[in-house]
Amino acid sequence: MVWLLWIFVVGGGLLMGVASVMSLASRGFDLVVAANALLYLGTAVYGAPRLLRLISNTMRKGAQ
Amino acid sequence: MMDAHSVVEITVRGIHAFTVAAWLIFDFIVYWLHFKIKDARADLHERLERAHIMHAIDTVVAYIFIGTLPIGIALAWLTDTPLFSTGWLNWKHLMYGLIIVAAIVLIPVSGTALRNLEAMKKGAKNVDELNSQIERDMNRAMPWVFLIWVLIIAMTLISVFNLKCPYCHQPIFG
Repeated sequence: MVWLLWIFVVGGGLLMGVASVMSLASRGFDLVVAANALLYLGTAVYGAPRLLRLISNTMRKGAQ
Repeated sequence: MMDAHSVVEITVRGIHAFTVAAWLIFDFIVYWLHFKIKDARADLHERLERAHIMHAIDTVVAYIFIGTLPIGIALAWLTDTPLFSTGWLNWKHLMYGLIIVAAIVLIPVSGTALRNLEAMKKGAKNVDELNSQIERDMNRAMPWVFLIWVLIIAMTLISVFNLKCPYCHQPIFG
């Protein structure tokens, strides 16, 4: 379950973050869309090292 | 006569609404269960039983929470609505993003009750410490749980008041 949650946080964050940045680029600045970009990309950046740690820990346990 | 596209759209819209309603109801059940679980004077067997139920419901809630985004994106695609095209949708996405933040806060405290109660059942000596951990983590989670409720209700109201008729594509409450 925790795997799925972190994959979702990183994947969903990237997807929505990139979509909001693309919207800002094509439609011009909007405060709520910019807040979306900050929030979603922020969660993706926060979650990425945790997901990587989870992957490396699982691989280490698998190798032992 | 409805065409196939309208049927699919209404079905996905219904699933989207149903999952969010289920999410909120399950959250209320978990909230109701937590009172007994954190009550150190209550019977351990009863607390553990409720913790197991709470854990099972929480797992379902997590799947619903994760599923809401892809279903919403599918609905946007079906209705030819770019993700960040309207003011109300932008606000809805922002609220969902805040729920993700709340979920990140709740991940580390979510398993404490079941873990500690299992330890007590196995005869752990530090019962007082384990009980205070349960109460501390549950109390710490509460403001985030209330925030999630407020955001889900706000998102639902925003969606309902911007609902469009699937045939004419005009806002129903416009």
